[in-house]
Amino acid sequence: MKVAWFIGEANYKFNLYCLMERDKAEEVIIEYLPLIYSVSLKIVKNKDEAEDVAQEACIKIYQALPGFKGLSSLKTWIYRLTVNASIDYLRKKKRISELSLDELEEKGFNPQADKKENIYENLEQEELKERVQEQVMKLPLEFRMPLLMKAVDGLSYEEIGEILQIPVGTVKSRIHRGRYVLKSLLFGEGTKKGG
Amino acid sequence: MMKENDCDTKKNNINQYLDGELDELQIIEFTKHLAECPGCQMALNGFQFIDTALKETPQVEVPLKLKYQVLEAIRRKKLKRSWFLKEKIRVAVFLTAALIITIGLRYALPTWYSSIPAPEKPLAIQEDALSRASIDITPTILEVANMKNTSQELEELFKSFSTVVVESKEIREKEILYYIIVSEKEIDNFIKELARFKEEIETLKAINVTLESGSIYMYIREEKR
Repeated sequence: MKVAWFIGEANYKFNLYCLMERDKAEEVIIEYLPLIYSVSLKIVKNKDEAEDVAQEACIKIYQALPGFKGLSSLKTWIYRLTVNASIDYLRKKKRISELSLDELEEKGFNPQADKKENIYENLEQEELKERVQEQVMKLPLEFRMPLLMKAVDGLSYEEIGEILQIPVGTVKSRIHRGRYVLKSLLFGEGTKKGG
Repeated sequence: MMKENDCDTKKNNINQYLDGELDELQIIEFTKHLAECPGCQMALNGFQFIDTALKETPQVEVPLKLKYQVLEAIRRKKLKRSWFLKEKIRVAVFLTAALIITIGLRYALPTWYSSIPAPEKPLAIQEDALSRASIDITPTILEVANMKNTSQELEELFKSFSTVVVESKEIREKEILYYIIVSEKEIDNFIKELARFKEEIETLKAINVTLESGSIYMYIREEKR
C-alpha cells in the first residue's frame, strides 16, 4: 500500500501539530488494518462482528498511539491491543466460555468421535487443507490463538507470550495441546496431553 | 519390541522437533526412533500437514466499508480532540483577558473593590478582547461560503478525469468530505493535479490519498478554518 499525504500551511501552530501527529497515527492504523481485522476475525469468528471489533480496536490504538513507548515492536503492541479488544467483546457478549477446552469437553466435545471412521481419508490434499483451516476455528480460543499466531502469523513463543500475557512455557504447552486436539479432530486420534 | 512408554517419550519430542527446539544429538536420536516407529512417523506427518495447511490459510481481505468506517471514526475523534483544544484556548484567552482587566482595574481604580459600580470602559475592553478571540477561532459564514467555492473548483477537477467517480459528498460546518474512486491508469496524473490544486488553494487544509492495488479509493478531506 502506498500512502501520500499533502498537508497545507496551518494558521495556528497547535492545529498543524495536531493534524500532522494525528495523520501519522491514521497512516499507521491503515497500514496495520489487515492485521487488526484478521486477528479480530480469528477471535470472534464472524465477519460482521470482526468488523465492529476491528473498528473499536483501531480507535483504541489511535488513542493510545501517542503513549506507545517502543518497549515492544509496534506490530506486537498493535496485536496485543487488538486481542484485548476482541476478548473484551467476547466478554460483553458473554461468549467467554469459548476460552475453555475443559468446559467444552464437559459439554460433550469429543475429538475422538471420528476415530473409527476417518471421514477425511478420501479427501484430496487441498480439500483436507481447507478442513484443517475450518477445524482450527473450532478449537477453544486459548488453544486456537497461540496455534494460529505461531503457524499463520509466524510469531515467536516470546512474542505470543507477550501478546497474550502468559509465560512462554504456557504458550508452548497450549500450542502442543492445540496441535493434538486439532489432529484428533481431523484424523480421529487420541488427544491425551503430551501424546 | 519398543516399550509403549518409550514411544510416548519420543512422541513428546515431536512438537519440539517441529519447533526446531531439539539439539543435534536429540535430533539424531529422534530421527532414529522415527525410522523404527510407524506411529510416531504418522503423528509427525499429521502435524507437519497441519502446520503446512495453517501456513497456507488464505489472507483475509479487509472490506472497503471497514476502511471508510475506520477513517470516519478517526476523523470524528480528531475533530473532537481539536474542539477540546480550541475550547481550552478559548478558556485560556478568556481567563487571561479577565486577569489583565482585573489587574488593570486594581491599579487604575484602587477603590473599585469598595463597592464602586463597575465603569463602562473596562467592560467594553473585556468584550472587545472576547470578540477578537472568537473571530480568531470560530469560522464565519463568509469562510464557509468560500469553502463551497473551493469545493466547486475541486469538483471541476474531478470532472476533468474520465474515470473519477465521486461516491459520496458530505458538507459539514467546517469541512467537506469526499469518497472518490479513481482508476489505476489515471491515479498518478490525478495525484499530480491534486497537488497542484492544493498549492493554488491556500484554504485547503489536507488531502489524504490512500491507494491500494485492485480497488483504489481516495479519502479526501477539505478543511476550512
